[in-house]
Amino acid sequence: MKKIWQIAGSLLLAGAISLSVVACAEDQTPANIEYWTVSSNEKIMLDKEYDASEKTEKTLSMRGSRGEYESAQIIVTPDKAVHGVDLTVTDLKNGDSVIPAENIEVYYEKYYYLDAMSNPEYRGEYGSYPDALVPLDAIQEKGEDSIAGNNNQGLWVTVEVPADDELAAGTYTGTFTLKVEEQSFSVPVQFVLWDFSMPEEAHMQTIFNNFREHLMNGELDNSEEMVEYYTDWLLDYRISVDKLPVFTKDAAAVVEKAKKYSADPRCASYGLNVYFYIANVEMLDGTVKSINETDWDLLEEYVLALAEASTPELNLLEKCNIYDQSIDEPEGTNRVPEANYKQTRIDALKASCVAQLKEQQFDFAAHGITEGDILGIEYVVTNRYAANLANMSTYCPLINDLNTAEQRALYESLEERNEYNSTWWYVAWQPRYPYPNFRVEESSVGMRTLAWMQMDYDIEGFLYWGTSVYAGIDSNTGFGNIRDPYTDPYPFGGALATNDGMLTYPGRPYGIYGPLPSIRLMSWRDGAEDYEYLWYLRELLTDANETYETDFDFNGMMRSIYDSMYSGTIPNYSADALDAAREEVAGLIELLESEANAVITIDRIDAATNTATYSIYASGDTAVEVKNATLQETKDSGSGKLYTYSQVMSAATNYIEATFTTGSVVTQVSRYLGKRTNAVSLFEGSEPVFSVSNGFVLHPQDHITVAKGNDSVEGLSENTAKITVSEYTAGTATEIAAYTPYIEIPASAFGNINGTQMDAFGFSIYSPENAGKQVRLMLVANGTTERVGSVTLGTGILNVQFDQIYLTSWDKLGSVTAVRIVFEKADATADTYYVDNLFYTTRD
Amino acid sequence: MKKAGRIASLFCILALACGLFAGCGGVKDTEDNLVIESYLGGYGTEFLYRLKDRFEEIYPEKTVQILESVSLMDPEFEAKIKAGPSNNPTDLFLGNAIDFNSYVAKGKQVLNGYDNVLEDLTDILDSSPYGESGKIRGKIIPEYLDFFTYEDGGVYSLPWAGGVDGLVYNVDMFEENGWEVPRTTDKLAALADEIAATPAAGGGKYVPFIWPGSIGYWETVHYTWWAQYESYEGYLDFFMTQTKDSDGNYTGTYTDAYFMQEGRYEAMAVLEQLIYGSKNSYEGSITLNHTNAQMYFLNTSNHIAMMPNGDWLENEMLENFPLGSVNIAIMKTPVISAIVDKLPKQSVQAVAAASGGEKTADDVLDEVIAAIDRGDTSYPGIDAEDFDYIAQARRIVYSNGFNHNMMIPSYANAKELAKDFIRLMVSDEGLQIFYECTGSMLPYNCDYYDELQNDPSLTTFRSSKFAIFNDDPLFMTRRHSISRPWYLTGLEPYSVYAPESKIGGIGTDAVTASTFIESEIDWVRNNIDTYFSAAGIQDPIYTIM
Repeated sequence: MKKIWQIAGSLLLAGAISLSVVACAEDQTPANIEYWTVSSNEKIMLDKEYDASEKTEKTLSMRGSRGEYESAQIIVTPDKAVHGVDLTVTDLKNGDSVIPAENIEVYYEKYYYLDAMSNPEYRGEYGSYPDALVPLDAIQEKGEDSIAGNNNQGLWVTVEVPADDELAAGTYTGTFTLKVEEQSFSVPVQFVLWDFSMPEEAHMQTIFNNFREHLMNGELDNSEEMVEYYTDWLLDYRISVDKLPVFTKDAAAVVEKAKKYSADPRCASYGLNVYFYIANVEMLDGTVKSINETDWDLLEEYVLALAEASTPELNLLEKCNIYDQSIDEPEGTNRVPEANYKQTRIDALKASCVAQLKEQQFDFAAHGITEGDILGIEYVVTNRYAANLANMSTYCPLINDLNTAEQRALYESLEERNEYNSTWWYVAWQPRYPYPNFRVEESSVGMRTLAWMQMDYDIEGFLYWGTSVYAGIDSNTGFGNIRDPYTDPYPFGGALATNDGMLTYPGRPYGIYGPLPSIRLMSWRDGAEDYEYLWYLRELLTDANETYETDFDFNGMMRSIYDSMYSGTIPNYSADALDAAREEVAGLIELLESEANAVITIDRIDAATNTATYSIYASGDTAVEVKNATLQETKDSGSGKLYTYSQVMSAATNYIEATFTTGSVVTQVSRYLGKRTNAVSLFEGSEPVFSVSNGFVLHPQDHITVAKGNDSVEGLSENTAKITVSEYTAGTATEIAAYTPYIEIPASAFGNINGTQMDAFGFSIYSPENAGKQVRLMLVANGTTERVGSVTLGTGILNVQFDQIYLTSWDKLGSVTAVRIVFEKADATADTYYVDNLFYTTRD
Repeated sequence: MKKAGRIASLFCILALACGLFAGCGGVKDTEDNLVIESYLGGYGTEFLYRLKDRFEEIYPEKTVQILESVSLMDPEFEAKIKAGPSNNPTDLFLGNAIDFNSYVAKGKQVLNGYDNVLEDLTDILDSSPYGESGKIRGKIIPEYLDFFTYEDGGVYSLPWAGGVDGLVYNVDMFEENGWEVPRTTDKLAALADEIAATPAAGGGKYVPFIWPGSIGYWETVHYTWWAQYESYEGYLDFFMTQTKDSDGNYTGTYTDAYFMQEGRYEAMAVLEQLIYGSKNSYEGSITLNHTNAQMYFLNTSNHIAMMPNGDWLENEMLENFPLGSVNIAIMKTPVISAIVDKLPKQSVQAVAAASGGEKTADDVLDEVIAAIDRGDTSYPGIDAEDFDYIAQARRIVYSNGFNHNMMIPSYANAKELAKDFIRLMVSDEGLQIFYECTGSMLPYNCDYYDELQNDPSLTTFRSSKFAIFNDDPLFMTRRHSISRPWYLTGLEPYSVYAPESKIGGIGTDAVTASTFIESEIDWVRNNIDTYFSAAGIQDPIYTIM
């Protein structure tokens, strides 16, 4: 017999519940109300009991830059049902500078009860997850501002920091008033404004499908106006949709809309409208297939029209891309020949456009465009590289298809085949945890980390298949099942993927025209804004390299930051690591943006003498003073100056306290330098304190030898470990393949400190004949390992430091038994590495 | 036959022949109407309709409704089983590559209110097939019963296919050219070279192999080679993934050590020997899908000698190649030549050495296998233990049947009907129906199969399948989902679904077996802990570090 009480789907729990109202009427004593604050990176479940230790924070805290949106949450937990919730916001002030209250939006979080997970392996908790964000006043108007007893109701606060360069940096404060029934609470608010502005232009390209037909189920309105409203609204969330909101095939209309979005700095990219018709078409192998043929003539007309309408002030092609959805995910289907055919056609189309324009003696320069703008229009095919799809110009694989270095190297090589080739990536209902995705129950940190990975791996754009899929998906018809997007998070039925394809909510039920955001949409925007930080830092460093005639390497400087957050395309889901990374990047930007235009690089930390050597580059008209440090050298560097300092790290925590005076502008910087180092001697007498290994425990470890001494290499101490790694040929073929030479330093050499207390780990390594090879740092606990990071050897002494080891997201961090330095396997010529100057620092 | 694939977007779901809730508009979800939903693949569904007719004849008060799906694999099955009794009318699923044990392991997490969404089918095993007196438990092939038995002793799925897979060859082509069916992989490699050098009638040369690049059909032999090398038990050790005590019992402690099994490398080394860089292969093989590859293979004007494939081949291609129009057969999978290094007593090398150079170790191995095929139980000079090792290797047969999973939702309305239907299906009568419709066998012993083997009307293909099936085979597969890391996490034996796409890659895309295994070990080093963790495994032993 079926269980008649089984409910497939979810319950709306954020609305009024009559039972609790009845309970309220019976009991007149005021509720005991708790409130606490959390960051925007956390998802607090409605119906979960949280420990008191998690509810101690009472200040609503945010950090950001000018022109950025930042959010945080207030969680309200009454011990019995209440009705009537309000939050009054105030201006945030820093002296005379104000972030006005009108820039602060308060949302009421709405929840889904999930009784089945998209991915049970991710978390086994059933319960109510927050997602929809409805303006508080709209909730109040509908009388939905009720909280059941012991439920945790979230109030989401978003601050839009004015993009006003005059807005002073510093700490802005205010006090909001939280009112629950008759009880009031003062909520202190703090916003730390960093001293720079978000770039005005958006750079993170996206293709997010905006299905017109799906809007009907949520908005009861899929008019052209509504479609365009969604398109524009999403730009505030740094999302560009898949096609221009054009509802006619007329090229002039396409041009007009292209002008609008090309001129809009919020829009990083736009999709060109593509039309299809059924036709029998000859494929590349000579077979004839009935396909959804693309209207190439129309597409060509659009490209030519865009070229002709471009001006030096407004290039209509540089943001343009094409997502031909008729060949979506062709691998393993009968559309592979069609995909190959269409790639050939688009290549020919672009070449033909260029040829036609040249024949007409079209003045590219006068129109502000180049041939490359046409040839570089990306034709995005949602597929990974496959042997039978070998010639795509823009592959768009799933993010897990770029998890390994080998996979990323493949796509880099594919890009190198042609200057106009590029790589995008996407998620859909795959991949699953541990890869990040957009599901209701999944981590906001994961979603946000995508943007960092995208910058790291030089991925051109991100694609997502749906933004406002309000209808359910019936596989017979493609769509059409009626569902309430506020109560049913399963568009496909069952728990295939919670709210896959839906990042917005319809405003109609609340009398609001257009969409409302979700927490996931906010996380997406947060990540996209992080991306702009990184973009901006890269630009500043590029400029600094010109100024100082240096070769600061953006990726090199970012490596340890990236490594603290993810490995491959798998995040460590640490909100602390994300916050720390963001803060560090902001600090680097602030310094470069200051009048001093300064860059500080830490060159070496000598553990034996506990001394750090660092370089400060500053503009030529800037005077530099550093406290508690000794100036070693000053010299010109490009049009600026280089100052080299040494500083004894005598305190437990040490900072570079620098003052830059440029004319009348004084910039004071306190830049974290490091903790007092603890030197680790690699030898006790002449015996090494570390062990060596081949990479698997069952066999003799005789292919790595150790000697003490530096062979007179300048800059290395007498306590240097000279490690010789030889080729391994003696075992089975599998063992030879598995051979991974490393040295392992036991925790006892580090004073047996707990991994959760380890801050930095560093060493110097020299191996000039192995320049280009990688050396990895791993943590070891009970025979399993966790990668901390890797470095690439150069020809000189490389001073390596891995920071914030304690942020490594690893459940065995507390039981680390060793640290491992892993080398690449050697070939017939043995490799020699000199390892010296090993040190660590602790958090306290 | 299509292999498990990934459905990752709205558009793929649009392409489904049947919907997630196919039949919700016309399915009768009652106790008297058995709703069967079947994967539509190489075996078709004609057998189901015949069984349906017979079932309704036997049980006149009951009806059977059949739904078909071209994608009834894990993602779709998961959605359907999780839809619960309100939205899922199906009483019996015939799925493809379903990780059925994962649903059992996840228990309540699959569907709230249900300890287990899959019905325990133990009572079917302890009952008799329709019209017979013996127990089904005694009829099912032991390796299948082991595979389908969960760690709590329950059986939550049963197979609905049991095909014999391996290397299919063109019998006429072999006979015309005097090519002998090889018994060892070295002999197979030598034959491939010979074939490639043989001029074909009408110009050109014969082509040794054709294979679809993205669908891993070489799995029908390279997993067999791995198992031959490591022994059947050694191969299963890999999938149990646990250390063993001194008595050879599994300890419950998981380890990555089995990823170092040399059999994995040796199997890849054979692939390298045969098709490295797409040598010995029909041009463009690596770009083909399975249907095209089969078409080209069966079109004898292409002069293609062999194709790794399975017992569905003839049936799947009936529309273009009527039964018996092409004289093909499945050969017994050649034994991996490297096995001589793995033999406990190394007696093959000893016999070869004693021949004073007249015979290589592979020659001796070949003779031993020939003796085994004749039914001999020993060979002069070969240690009994070595002989048994080789004899077992010769018995090992790859089967796709393990991937064809029947399951009954525990909340199904017509559970008992579903069980009765299975009882009919595995009866001799049902097995005969299945054979008549598909030309294939199910993994249940029956007199009918013994009778069939001698039926002169059988095509050579069918005859060859029965010859293998009736010769006391040891069945195995690539997804022995017998332990948690495998059925809970989707872990695969190789990180690459089709290793041949790497080893048989063209030009600089080709990788050697050594490079392939190196990347596999590195993958294990970097990823296995994630899978162990996802499977809830505590304190595994890591040897690859």
